[in-house]
Amino acid sequence: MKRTFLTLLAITFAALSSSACDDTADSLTNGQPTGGTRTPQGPTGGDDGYHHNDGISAPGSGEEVVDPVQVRVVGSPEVTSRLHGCGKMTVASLDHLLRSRGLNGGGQRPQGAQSGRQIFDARDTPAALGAANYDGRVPEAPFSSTSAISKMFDIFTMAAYDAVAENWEAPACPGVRLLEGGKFTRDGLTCLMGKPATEEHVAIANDAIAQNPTDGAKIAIAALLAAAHTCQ
Amino acid sequence: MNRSAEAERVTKREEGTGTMRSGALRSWAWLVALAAALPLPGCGSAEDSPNSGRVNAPTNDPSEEPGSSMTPEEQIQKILDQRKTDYGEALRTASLKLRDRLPDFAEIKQIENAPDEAAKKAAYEKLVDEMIASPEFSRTMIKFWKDTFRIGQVGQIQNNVNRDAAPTFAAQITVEGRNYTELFTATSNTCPTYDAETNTFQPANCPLPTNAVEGPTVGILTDPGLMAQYYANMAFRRVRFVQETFVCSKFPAEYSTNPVPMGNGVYTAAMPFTSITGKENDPDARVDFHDTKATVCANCHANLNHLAPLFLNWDENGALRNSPQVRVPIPGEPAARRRDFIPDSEPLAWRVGKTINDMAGLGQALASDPDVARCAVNRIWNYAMSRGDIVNDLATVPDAVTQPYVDQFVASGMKLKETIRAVFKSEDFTKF
Repeated sequence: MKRTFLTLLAITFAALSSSACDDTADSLTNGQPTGGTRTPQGPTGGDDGYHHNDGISAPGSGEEVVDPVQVRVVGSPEVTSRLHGCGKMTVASLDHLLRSRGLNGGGQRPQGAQSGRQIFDARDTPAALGAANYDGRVPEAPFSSTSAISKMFDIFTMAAYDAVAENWEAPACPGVRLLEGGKFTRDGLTCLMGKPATEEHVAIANDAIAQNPTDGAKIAIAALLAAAHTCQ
Repeated sequence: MNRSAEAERVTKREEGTGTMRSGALRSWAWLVALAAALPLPGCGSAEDSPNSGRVNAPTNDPSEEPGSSMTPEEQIQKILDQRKTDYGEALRTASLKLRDRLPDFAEIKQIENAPDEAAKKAAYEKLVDEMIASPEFSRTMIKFWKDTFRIGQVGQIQNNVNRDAAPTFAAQITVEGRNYTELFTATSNTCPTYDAETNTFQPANCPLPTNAVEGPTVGILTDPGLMAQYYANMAFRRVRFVQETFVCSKFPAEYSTNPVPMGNGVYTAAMPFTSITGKENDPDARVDFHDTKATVCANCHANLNHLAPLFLNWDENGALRNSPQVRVPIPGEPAARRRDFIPDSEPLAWRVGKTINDMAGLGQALASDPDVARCAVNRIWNYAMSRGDIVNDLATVPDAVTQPYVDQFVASGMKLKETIRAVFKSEDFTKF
């Protein structure tokens, strides 16, 4: 009985979570429609070049059917329109992040392990990151897929080895040190995050070092990079 | 919850249970705690921390339930009022959007070191102006238009057709502050190139594709690259490109005020049912657009068919030819004819009552359509706010949100660059 209740609870939570993401669900398939009568194909699809839909509301005129549940969970269209979404960092931006923040594979890492830069440069990485496929009329994905987030985290995890290197230098942050006396500097974290770091960021990152003097700094950097750059 | 406290609590729990004693396991547990504690915005709407950079749109507050005493406007305002201005976050986001890169340390410090909110705002707006004036903005706009048009040159140029040309032209119009309607009306120099070293667009006419005949240039509507990219049976994909890209909606394009039950559905289009070809007015019709057995084809095709004949003569390589090059998807795949779409006596039309004669007429119709202006602004809005594609991601924007920008856009010569500037400096953009 208890298990059934927990299962139902989990399903309910999952349903609410997915409804919260309704307006961006298509993005997880690079803008391809996921089915349903209200999501006819865009110009990307259809072998015959046209598609029959049964659209019933005037398009683009504010007469879209609004699901009351969605309004309750994520807000009305006007509210959601005025809030920043969680856009994916572009492949070019990620490339620039690695270059400008001194994360180009210069750190000491475990034998045989790839650097963040090497993972980024791998042939299959652009597709995993949602790069455009213009031959297929597919633009760069505006939102992260699971594979994109996973790949970015792989990159950030290994890039952390570069950031903790003694000779770390970020071209975009001249003169800035990330670690001084075994502790993170606020400017260093600001550099990595691309926005002003708070004292809270510094404290939590230094706490990682206190917890694990060997790998804590790398773990903190990977987590900070992932948290800061998961959304554009 | 306070993030440090959360990390400490997790650590104490670990020590108390004694289940995560190894360094590796403890490290990963710490990582999970840290990642959970740091702001990871989800679903583009909400976070529960005031410092998270996102606003918690929904709450369990009964006063926000439908039917509560608050008016919808009050509910909207209450949610929006939870946002906090954060010029540091805004700078990072703007830099990624306008230059495709993070801001430099010195730029971040300009915001951070500003003594008060007014100074931060001034510093931020100055940096936005600098970003828009930078060469990186030009490159980013080319990328923006490539993604919007879903086209880009991959590999070597073939058949003398450059698929970068249309997005580069759109970027040139944007960057140079020219009138957006030139996209549909320009009669020359629609295939510019971009010199990254000098940050200049070099005007150029589109080279004649292999096997092509000369024809008039009508903005990007006659762009060989787009014609090749959107080649398909009966040219419907080309028409859909125009509709979805520049009007921001799928077909059906317009609706009658008096829908008529018909077959298994309702005919909702504004144009007369028999204004397009079908069995009712042509027993020999190769495609019956009057069919209502499964769905009412004419709901979409009423408008589609009045435009598609304009796009018949470009072949799959984007070359304009003297005869129709697109096919009808029936046995034998014959070349499409005008009468496959509309009766011989029926004029082409952009919308009901807006007849056109040729591609230049379509360009003029697009240029004067208020929905086209609104679509351009809404695309910029969605780009800035990371909301995805207005059509493919169903990221529609209520008129009330962008009306001030649309009004400004139309009143000031349809300069998209100024709309970009206004949106990136707006209160909505700088609040998180």
